[in-house]
Amino acid sequence: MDINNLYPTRTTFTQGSSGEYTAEMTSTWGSTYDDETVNDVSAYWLGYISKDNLPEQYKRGIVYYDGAEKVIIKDIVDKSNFPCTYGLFESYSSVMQRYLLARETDGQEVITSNGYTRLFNQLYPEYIGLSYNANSNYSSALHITMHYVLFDGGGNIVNTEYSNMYKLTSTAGIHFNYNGYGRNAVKAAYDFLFKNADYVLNISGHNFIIKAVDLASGTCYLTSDDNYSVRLFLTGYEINMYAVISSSNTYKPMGFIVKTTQSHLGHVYADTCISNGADYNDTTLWWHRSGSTAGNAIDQHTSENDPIFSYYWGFDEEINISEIQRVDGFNSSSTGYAYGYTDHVFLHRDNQSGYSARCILTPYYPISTVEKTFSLSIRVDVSGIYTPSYSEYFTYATDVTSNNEFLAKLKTGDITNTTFKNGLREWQYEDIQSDEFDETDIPPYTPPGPDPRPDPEPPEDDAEHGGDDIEPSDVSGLGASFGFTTQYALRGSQIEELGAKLWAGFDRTNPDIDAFIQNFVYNVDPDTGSVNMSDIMEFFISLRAYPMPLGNLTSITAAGNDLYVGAGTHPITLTDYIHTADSYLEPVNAGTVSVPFWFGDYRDYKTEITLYLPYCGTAELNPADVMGCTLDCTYVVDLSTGSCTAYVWTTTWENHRYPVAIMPGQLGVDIPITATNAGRVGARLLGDRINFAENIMSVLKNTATGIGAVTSGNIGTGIRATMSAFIDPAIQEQKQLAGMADRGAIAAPMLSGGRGLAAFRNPATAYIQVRSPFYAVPEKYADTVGDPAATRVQIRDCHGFNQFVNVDVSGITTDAADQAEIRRALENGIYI
Amino acid sequence: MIIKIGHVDVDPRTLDKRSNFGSHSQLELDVQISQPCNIKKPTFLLDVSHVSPGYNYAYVPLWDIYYFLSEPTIIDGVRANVAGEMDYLTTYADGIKNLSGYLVRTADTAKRNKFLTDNRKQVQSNCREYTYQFNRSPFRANFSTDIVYLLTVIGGRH
Repeated sequence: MDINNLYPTRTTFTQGSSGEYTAEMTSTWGSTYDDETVNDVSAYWLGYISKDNLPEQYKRGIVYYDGAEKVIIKDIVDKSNFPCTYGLFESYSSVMQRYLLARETDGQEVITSNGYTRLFNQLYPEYIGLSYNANSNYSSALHITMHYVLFDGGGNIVNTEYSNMYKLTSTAGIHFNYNGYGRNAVKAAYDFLFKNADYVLNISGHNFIIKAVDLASGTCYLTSDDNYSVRLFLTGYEINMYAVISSSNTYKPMGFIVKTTQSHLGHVYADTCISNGADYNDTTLWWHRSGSTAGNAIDQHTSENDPIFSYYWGFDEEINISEIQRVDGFNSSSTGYAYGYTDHVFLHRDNQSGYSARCILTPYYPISTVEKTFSLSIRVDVSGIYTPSYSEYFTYATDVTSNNEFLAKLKTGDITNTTFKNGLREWQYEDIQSDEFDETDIPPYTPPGPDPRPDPEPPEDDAEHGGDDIEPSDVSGLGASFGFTTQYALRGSQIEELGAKLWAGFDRTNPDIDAFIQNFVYNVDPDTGSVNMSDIMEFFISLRAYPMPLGNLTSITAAGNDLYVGAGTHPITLTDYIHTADSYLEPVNAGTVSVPFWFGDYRDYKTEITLYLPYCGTAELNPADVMGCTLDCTYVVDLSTGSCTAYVWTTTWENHRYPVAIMPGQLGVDIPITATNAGRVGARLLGDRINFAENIMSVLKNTATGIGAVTSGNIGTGIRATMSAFIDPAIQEQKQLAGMADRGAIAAPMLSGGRGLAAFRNPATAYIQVRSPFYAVPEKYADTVGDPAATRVQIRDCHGFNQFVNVDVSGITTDAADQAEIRRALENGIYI
Repeated sequence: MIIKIGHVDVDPRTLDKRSNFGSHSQLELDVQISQPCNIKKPTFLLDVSHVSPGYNYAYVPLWDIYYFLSEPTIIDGVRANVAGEMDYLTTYADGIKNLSGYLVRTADTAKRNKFLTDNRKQVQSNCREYTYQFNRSPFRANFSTDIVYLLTVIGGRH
């Protein structure tokens, strides 16, 4: 059976001699209006279905499909009351579900109400059968369109019903095209989507992953009411919003699926959004079809009767859809309008005069972009849907063009919450992201090259798992600051500010010797009252730059704005808060990486693997430690020296854990700040420039020493004179050297020991580099050459090409020569 | 002696060719055997009209032996010799199937050992390289924002 023929088509009934009708598809729906008359049986259609496999009691009036046979309908006496039964076609190769319609009881009419005949499906209570029995009561006619997507067994969309979407009605009355898929289409897709969560669909070359998210039960809302014709069931566990989430996290709602939860004897609950009763409660969402005139409206809700004015399914009152799209062919008239569907899902807020504002959710199935998106839709189509003067629409994702986009089922929230945050706000990704949607579900980066094979089954481990997992030592609690020194953790701006404050007296334009003096560490001799001045620079041990944000230091303490040195009581006050690092050892998490198998066989172990660790270097690793494993890296930084050690542990696919690399490195970079320091550090790198700087520092130091000998008075003069003579050009020189701002001696050339600051250009993230040779493997290699094996088998259990050794041929009753021939043939390889 | 000659179109290394042999049309002939004759490598004396390059296989029910046919040689325009060579695999197919052995190469993916090195696969000199980054890094190199400076001073803490 051509699967296309499964689609609802027009059906012609032929009455047989026993009164039974044979339905036969005669044509397919077009995309133009269909104007079937009520009693024109050609308006009804059924799929090609066969009843033969059903139990007898269901055969009458049952239509179902399990192959290519035509449907047989019995006991239909009165064609006018013949329920238009919607068929949902079952293909055993598809994921669509069987849809059975049944009469309530044999021979009895089904209940019709408001133009709908509801069928009770005894076999599958979760399904409903919706029969539209057209009558002249146009205003009560409802039209449900369910579209579905038909998948083949491989999850590929085979066809969609979008092309058969019904088109609407003229203004003369209800001539509706019904989509016979009804609920079951929804159910089918629902089931598919829910039961096949994470199922990857390929839609015209684009991959979609369906993520299923459970809805909070009872969060959304319509309740059933037996007494009324049709209700839309929008309970939380029934409604599922689907949205396409692109890899760039643009997020748009797509549509939703509804399904009924009850199948009530004698009734079926169709997926309509209309209620014409007053039996509702606070959680009832009444969908309103605005008629062309107030009189045509199925429901006339006044605000007081409609408690859900403030309830918007998934939206709050303030929703502001930025994009308003009209449906093609959507036009309004005073008496209703023709309505054509294109690819929109839209939510009406109906502010039609005479009606309270409503939400009319008319999601829609995209036509033009079906290859790229899909959704299921429920549509309430009534004649004369009115184009309100004020509409809000939301559109679902369309034109999904990239791979790795997701169709995710969203959670809905309590629609009573007018500030509903989980609603479908197109621009608010976080609002519509389901809790179960995890961005890490986005497929990880696949390196270029041939598609890697899926991870293989782990090889059999004949040996019992033995040995111990090796874990690193715990470094917590080590390296506390013991009080002899203080490590100030400063930002670059604070360093600059410090330098400025230290050497403020050397501002050639505004020397402030007093400020300079204040910054010396000085002690007052309690016996003599003399002031002993110390060179502040003697108290600076080191300045190191670490390529880490301040927040990465775990043992830091906020220390206000004052920076003290020595036992001095006069701090250097900085503008920003300063921190102290209270531990010499900083364990720093450098992340994890999982390296998948590429070939899934021995070739993965023929690779060369290099581990790069920032500031440490590279190491060659054993493929067995890396392939299929997860590596984690932790740096332990010694803040007293700037050195670091990177610890890389592996956790294998067998969950064995052990170290694979422990590498030393230098993370902290010395920045010269004192004469001694500069001499040591700079001499390694700058040569003459360092000597110059060293001289400068020496001048400063000597001058400071001289100052230290001064007890009063002439400090400032002496300093000014000396400093100005030496420092000013020196500073200029250093500025040229380092390109630093006018900050004084701290603005030394950015020199350091070890790799220096130049190492900061190194990649800051550790990585694993895998080099794997290409293998020339011809087609059908295994079929003709075979893959290596090492197992004892019985020959009859083998298939294809096989090569054996050491076969005991004594079981062959023949002479030794023949046995030798047989053994030779087996060793050369045979086809079984 | 009755001989059935026909055709097989499977690899000679196929274990059991009987079904393939039977799927093609066969000639059942009463032939003579040129003597002396090694029944494992007989020479069948056939009528010239029964000789065809398409007949590459034969079965002798008397011995229950299957043969590869080759070298059809016309003797005198009326008769022809066709050499037969015993097909050990098919002749003893049922017994062979009951044998057990050590499987070293197979097309059966269920039985292969993916982690045994296959030296028959040719290794090319070029290679692919791909990198996997660790999923986070504590290190930065933005001098203005992401560098922390540790200034170590004597004393200092108040």
